[in-house]
Amino acid sequence: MSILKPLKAWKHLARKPHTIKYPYEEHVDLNGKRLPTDRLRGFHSNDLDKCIGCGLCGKICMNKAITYEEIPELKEKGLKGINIRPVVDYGRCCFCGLCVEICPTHSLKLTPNFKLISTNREDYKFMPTQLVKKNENFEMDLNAVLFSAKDYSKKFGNGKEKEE
Amino acid sequence: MKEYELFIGPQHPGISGNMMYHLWVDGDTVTKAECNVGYLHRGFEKLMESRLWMQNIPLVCRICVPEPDVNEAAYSMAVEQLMGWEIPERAKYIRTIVLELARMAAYLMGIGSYAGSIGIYTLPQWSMGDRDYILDIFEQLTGARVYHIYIWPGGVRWDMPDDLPKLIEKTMDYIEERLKLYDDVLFENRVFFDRAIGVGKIPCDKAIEWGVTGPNLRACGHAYDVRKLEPYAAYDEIDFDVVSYPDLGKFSSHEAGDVYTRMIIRRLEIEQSISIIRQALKKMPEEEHILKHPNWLRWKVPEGYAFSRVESTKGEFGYFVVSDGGLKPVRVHVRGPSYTHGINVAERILKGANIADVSQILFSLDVCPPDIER
Repeated sequence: MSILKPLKAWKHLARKPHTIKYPYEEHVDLNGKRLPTDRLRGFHSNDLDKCIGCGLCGKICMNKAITYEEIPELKEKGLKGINIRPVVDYGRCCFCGLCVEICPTHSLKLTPNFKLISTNREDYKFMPTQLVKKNENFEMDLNAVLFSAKDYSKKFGNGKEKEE
Repeated sequence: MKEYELFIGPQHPGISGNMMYHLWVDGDTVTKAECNVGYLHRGFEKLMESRLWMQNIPLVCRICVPEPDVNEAAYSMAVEQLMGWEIPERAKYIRTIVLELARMAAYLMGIGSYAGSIGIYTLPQWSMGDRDYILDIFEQLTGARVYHIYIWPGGVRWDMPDDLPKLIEKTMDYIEERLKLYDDVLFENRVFFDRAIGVGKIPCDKAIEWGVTGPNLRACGHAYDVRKLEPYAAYDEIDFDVVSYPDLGKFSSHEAGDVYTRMIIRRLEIEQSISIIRQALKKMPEEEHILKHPNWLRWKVPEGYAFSRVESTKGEFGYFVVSDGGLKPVRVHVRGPSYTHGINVAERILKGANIADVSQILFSLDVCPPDIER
């Protein structure tokens, strides 16, 4: 206890603030490494060719966020398994990652992307595909990512095209 | 003067979540206090009965929001007891580190909100900012900032990344440095002495009878810590002393069981956590981090019951898990510390307090409403 103690407060004037100007400044940890790292549990990506449509992800999901949609072209392509692929409702998903751990082919994965902005409620329910990739801003570009089962051959090509 | 009624909560800065205290006040003195909960009931215990053993892991962490890892650890330990598993050494050490980091994060939050309740608004800003550096560690280790879903039956979910021990050590050094500033602002501050000493006393002879646990019990002079009495994870291989009244290190001890002693115990336990984490990082062996699980969808846990307990910042968490040998638990009972502190203890010690002291007494008990109702 000293009478000069309050003067210590002046040194805080020279300190850097805790807060960062978020979208303009990068979020880094104390070692200067950029966050989030690849471990962050964000939106799913799914390799539609590797996935066998077994349905285990939907069974382990306790929020019932995963439903399935049929892609008829997969049969034409000559892929094994069932031609259904998971559709995730991100309004229900809690990003626990149990679906990823249980996936027998390791086709379903979580990416560190965590930003998704849309005023349309329907946009939050979509089929994760190979199109979902980690990007600089960890942002989901809905125009690039939104995928409907009808567009399968348009986006990924079917078996016939490959032969040509 | 005629008695009047005062409502604190559910939307009130003087309370740590969605709960309410109904106070009957005579002048400035509280004559009767009644806890009113029910704003946050989610029915976890019943919900767990209809889910698979692994599906419960993302659920239990939501029982205590500021410190979710204790719930995962307690549930996992109960399942391990039923399965008869002995987890790998490395997993034990990683669990110790995660639990201690969570303790520190919860204490920083608790101390900050306490300081806010007595009008020192600098500390909440600082401690919440420092807590974020701990969340950065969690983000790199577990993949999430708040609900980690990381401690699983049989070990931990992922191994520790190679560069993380360095970051943890750096963060520990940083927080140790910051604690000196916390002392200046709160723990050696005249405002804190005048407000906290002798206020909100838990009678020490009745503490055990009332069901007080954790730092609140240690402030009453009982050196009771589950980490020492019934060591789980790697606590039996780590050297630490239980912090309890009257041995408060550099801080002078005044009265047992008052707000002052409770907060000083919390302050000293941050230092204790730093030392535990440093020891655990040094001793951590290279090994597998998890046992192989059976297929989750067909995982049958043997018939029987298990009780596991874990020390948290709020007190003692206990999980009682009953299995009939099926795919789902028959009953999971959670013994949460905030239930006794928030209802039983708070209602009794608020009697006779000033209105201005009500919120600091509640924050010094470190009540966590989501854990009261579950």
